[in-house]
Formats: sequence, structure tokens, C-alpha cells
Amino acid sequence: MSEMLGSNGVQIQLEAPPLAYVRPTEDPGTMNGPEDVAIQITDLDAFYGKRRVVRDVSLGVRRNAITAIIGPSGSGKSTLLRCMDRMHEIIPGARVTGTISYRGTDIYGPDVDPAAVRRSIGMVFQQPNPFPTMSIADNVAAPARFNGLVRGRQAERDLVERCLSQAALWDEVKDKLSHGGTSLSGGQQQRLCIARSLALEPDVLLMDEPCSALDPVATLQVEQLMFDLKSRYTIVIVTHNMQQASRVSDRTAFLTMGEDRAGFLVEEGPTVNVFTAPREQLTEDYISGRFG
Amino acid sequence: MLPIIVISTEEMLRLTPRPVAEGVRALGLSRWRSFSSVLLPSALSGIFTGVLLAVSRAIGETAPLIFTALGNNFFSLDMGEPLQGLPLLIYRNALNSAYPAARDRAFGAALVLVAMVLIFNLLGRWLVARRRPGR
Repeated sequence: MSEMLGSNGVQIQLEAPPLAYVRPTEDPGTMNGPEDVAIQITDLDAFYGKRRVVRDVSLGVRRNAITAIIGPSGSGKSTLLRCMDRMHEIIPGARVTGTISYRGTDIYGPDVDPAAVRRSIGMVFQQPNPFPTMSIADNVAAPARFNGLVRGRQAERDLVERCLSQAALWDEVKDKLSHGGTSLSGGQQQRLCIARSLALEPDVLLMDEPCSALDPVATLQVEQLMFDLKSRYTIVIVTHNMQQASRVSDRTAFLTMGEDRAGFLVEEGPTVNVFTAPREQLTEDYISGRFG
Repeated sequence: MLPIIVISTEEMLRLTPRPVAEGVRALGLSRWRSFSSVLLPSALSGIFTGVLLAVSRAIGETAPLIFTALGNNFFSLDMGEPLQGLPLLIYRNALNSAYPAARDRAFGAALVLVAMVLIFNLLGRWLVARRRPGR
């Protein structure tokens, strides 16, 4: 996989072959047992007020792999993703039933602090959202500082360099760390937001259409970054772009909207299987473009 | 003055882009931290603008004073009594502009008033600019 198909259909040569950090013996597409599950979703229903938008989803998210959630608009992809770090409930009237277990605890359990969940499960949004009043360095360091993860100027500088390097942004911004975060280009801003999430040392990264506001080159940079990160993190990405799902993900979950206008999970499995030999007719219709 | 400040402040806080507001929450910061470190600073320039507009407007109000408190021609620190207002001073002295001393007082007071508004505006702009990181 040293070359990939860009969003515009042009072959673009990447500098380094992706998947370099994954142990060769391990296929991130296959689920070998419960020890491979980072997040286990069981019987999840999500509501906005009385309206059910996600119905009966049970899904195991594989650790150290990229799981893509695909499906037509309104199938609850983003809602499902937001349930995984308890961001769904910040909208008034939104609620969730069912369980999502992470590291053996139900994150919807009574003793669980939602803020603590969000610290270990990071989220990257569709629109790059660096904090407008903060410098590039502060964008990365401030959340970690507020959460008490880093103390002292030198430690902060080290953290900023480490996270920006991990997000493949350090070389581009190292001479202007005091500039505003919003002065960067869209693709740089999105990588800055990824660096900001990494600063909290999460082990899961949720990405809600992280490339849909980016041009093809910036998209490839972010995808390359996801390849580099998956040896250390579990990544879940919601995407409208099926080529992107087939390019970057190891496993794919397909959601669609039922007659009750609630999204449900049709099938989940290794990306190769879902795209070339789907088990369900609904998936095949969607993949082949007959629906959605 | 207060209603204008309250309304403009509320609007400015509401104007924070939703992705930014959600982004802060997704980083596991407490509501207060989210507010004080991100939402408030990003709305601050708008809030200052609202305060400045309100102050600059209130500082020049003459008619409400004529019809209500009527001002006071003597120096007073008692908050329960009417105080002298610059616009009132200008108004009263300008009415007697046949007397050179009154005319001079009116022009002097007008200069002070304009200078105060200018200083408020410059101060506000400086405060806003100081909080913004370089580009």
C-alpha cells in the first residue's frame, strides 16, 4: 500500500508506506477474541427527546485498528459515535439506553464522570475547531494543563513538541508556536485538533468526518496520520466517503435508516469483506450505489 | 446602559461557534473551565464592544437627566442625591452662552466628554488586542 487513490481519483504517491508500526503477524482487520475489543456497545438506543435515532446497536470496536462507520445521511452514524464518549447527552433532551463498556466499566454507569470518559476517549470534529483566542502551543498544552496532566513550562514545551510531532505538524509550525491557532490552513488546523486530543493521552480517538472540510492533499495527510496512529490508538471514523472508508479502515460498520426513521446496524466486519462480499443485501445495495 | 450590555453580552456568548463549544466539552474540561478559558475569551471582544457602546451612549445622555434627576450644581459624594452630569453641565452653560465664562465652561466640558469617550474606546481596543495571539 505505498500508493493510494486520492479523493479526486488521481494516484498520489505517499512518502512512507503506511501500516509501518503494526506488527506484521497481526491483522487489524480480524477480531480474535474479547481481548481485541476496545469498546463494547450493547443494545444501544439513542434518543433526541421522544424520537429514537439509533436502535439496538451492538458492536465491538477493535483495538489498535481503524473502524469506519458508513451509511446514508440520517442513519445515526454521528450519534452513535457521540454516544461513545458521552457527547450525545450534552444536547438538551438527548439520552441513551443500553451499555457501552470500555476497559471493563460501563461508561454510562452511575459512578462514571462524563468528563473523565471524554479525557480517555478523544474526539475530532468535522469542522476544525482550534480555540480562537489561543496560540498554537496553548491549543495543545492548555487542555492538558487544565486537567492537571502537565506542570511547568519545560514539561509543557516537551508535550507540545511531542504531540505536534505525532500529529505530523511540528515541522510546519515549530517557528510560529505563538501564532494564533486559527491562522493555520484548514488541514493544519485539523491536525492541530488531533494533536490537542493526543495531549490528553487518550487511547481511543473518535473522528466525525474529519476530512469532509479538507482538500484532497490535506485529506491524504490526515489519513496518513491515522495509519501512523493506529499502532497506539484505537480509531473510529465516521465518513460519508466510501472510498475513504475502504482506503483507511480495517473494519467497517454499515448503518442504515429503518422504517421508523431510526438508524440501526446492518453489519460489521473486516473492511475487505464488507466491501467485496457483504453478508446483507442492504449493504450490497448501498456499496454498489443502488441506494443512498 | 445595563440592558444594552446584558443583551449584547448574551448575544456574544451565544455567537461562539458550536464546533468550538463542543470541542471544549469533548476534551473533558469542566463547564466552568470551558467557559472561563475558551468561551469567555472568544466572546470578550464582542462584550467589550457592547460595554463601550453602552457607556459611550450613556455618558452623553442629556434628555433623560433633564426630565428625571435634574443634576446638581454643587459637588456631592452622596449616592442618594442627584449628581452633576457632564452633558447637563454643557446644556446649562450653553443656554447662557451670552456670558463668556459660561460659554468657555460649556466648551471645556464638551472637550472633557469627547476625550473620555475617546479614552474608553482606545482602552477597550487595547484590551481586546492584547488578548489575541499574534498571527
